[in-house]
Amino acid sequence: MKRVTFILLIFITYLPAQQMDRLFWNGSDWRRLEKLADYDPELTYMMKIAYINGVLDGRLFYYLKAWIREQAFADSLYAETVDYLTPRELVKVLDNFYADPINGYIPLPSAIIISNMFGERIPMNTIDEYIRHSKEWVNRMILEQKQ
Amino acid sequence: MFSRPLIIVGFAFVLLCGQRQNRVFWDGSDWNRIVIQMNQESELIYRVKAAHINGLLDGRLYYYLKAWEVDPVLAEDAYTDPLDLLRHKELIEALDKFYSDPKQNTIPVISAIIIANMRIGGISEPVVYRYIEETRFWANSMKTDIDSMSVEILAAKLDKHLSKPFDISVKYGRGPGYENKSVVLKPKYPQAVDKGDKEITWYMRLIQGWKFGITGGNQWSKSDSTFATGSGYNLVIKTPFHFTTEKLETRIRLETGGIKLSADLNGSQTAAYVQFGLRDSKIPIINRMMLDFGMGSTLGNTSFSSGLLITLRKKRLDLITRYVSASSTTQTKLPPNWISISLGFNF
Repeated sequence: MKRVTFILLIFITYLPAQQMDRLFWNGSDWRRLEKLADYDPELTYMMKIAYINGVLDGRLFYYLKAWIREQAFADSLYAETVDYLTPRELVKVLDNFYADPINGYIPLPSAIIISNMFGERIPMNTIDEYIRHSKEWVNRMILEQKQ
Repeated sequence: MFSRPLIIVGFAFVLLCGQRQNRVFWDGSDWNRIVIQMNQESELIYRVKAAHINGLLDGRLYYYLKAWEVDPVLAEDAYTDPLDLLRHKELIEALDKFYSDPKQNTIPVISAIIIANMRIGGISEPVVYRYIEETRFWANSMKTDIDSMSVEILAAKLDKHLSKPFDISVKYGRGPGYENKSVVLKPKYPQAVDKGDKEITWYMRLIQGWKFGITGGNQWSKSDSTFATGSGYNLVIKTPFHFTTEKLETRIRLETGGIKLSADLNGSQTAAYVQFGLRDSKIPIINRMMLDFGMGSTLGNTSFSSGLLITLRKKRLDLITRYVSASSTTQTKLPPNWISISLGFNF
């Protein structure tokens, strides 16, 4: 009985720690939206669209702010295409992307860029390279945050 | 009479659509629209709003970290806005309160978050007020710029598209040897005669538009204090003389068969019917609902009818109720009127 309680305690302390380590929404949050919406497809879609619009608005707002300060810097930082796909298409591509558990911990802002790369038919090896880079980057960020 | 209001409503509609297309950020109107879209359910409203706020914060953090890797000083300078002093629930409440004033509708949500955090961070109200006014100014001027730019952007896009030799076969890797085939799109109406029609034989063409069916039912008549019942059967021919719009349909239908009103009162009946009514009914189960007017001959006497036809089961099953009036002779002793209820099947 003590052993079970001990294991449970470890789980309880470990799970919130995992949550805290996450910097961005990722595949698990994306998939959880369906459950949060009680499996209502319309509501799930609304929540996904609200999130995507949030990311794009946040990006645009700070792009404009950065652009006022240093145009070349802003243009180089925000060079990726994020508006090639319509929001509806983007939701579908993200659903497919996160259906593969291996992509689960890629941050959603990166996944939006990757989805648009798919849409633009950028060569697969370039996309794979970007995915690998995104995984490494987010892991590095989490480790730095811990330190 | 109605044209003027119609034009005004149409103009307003076009104007509203235009406004929606050229809005850059989510703002107060989007924020308030969530309540309507979620049917006032507070839990669902909270989740959608929280998802949007999460998106905004993630978008900001993502690019802050990216910028910080390249130029930490510039990143610290550009991303100094306080955004995380409030919890999500508090932030949503603050934004609801902020956007309850319709004057603030044009302020982007991300600016409203900054404003809410400025207030909780102890920034003085005149400074916050100035920030709101500045935000309103740049948000409106950005919209105006986009309104004037959109035409130029469209013209530039068209010019770019027309200037390049666009070949889909090259883009999708079919190679230069790929033979381009012209695709002819066939219009739905009017049905033009094309090559495929040559394969249809002459008698097939003749029966196109004609449909057949059968009906059978009972008649009830009450005249001179006597009550009589009978039965009838018919072969139904639906002619190709019909006129349809998107919602309405008019058809001409011929019925020929037998009728039996009593043991010594039976014979043939033939009639032509004009039917018109709803083509595709929105009422559950009922596929079609039509008024039915007919004229013909019953046991050699002229008869007129009016009734209602309801079609069920993918337009296969007809329920027909008719009130029939007929002239009578001393030989036939036909009742002056009777009600006919019949069931029909369409092939």
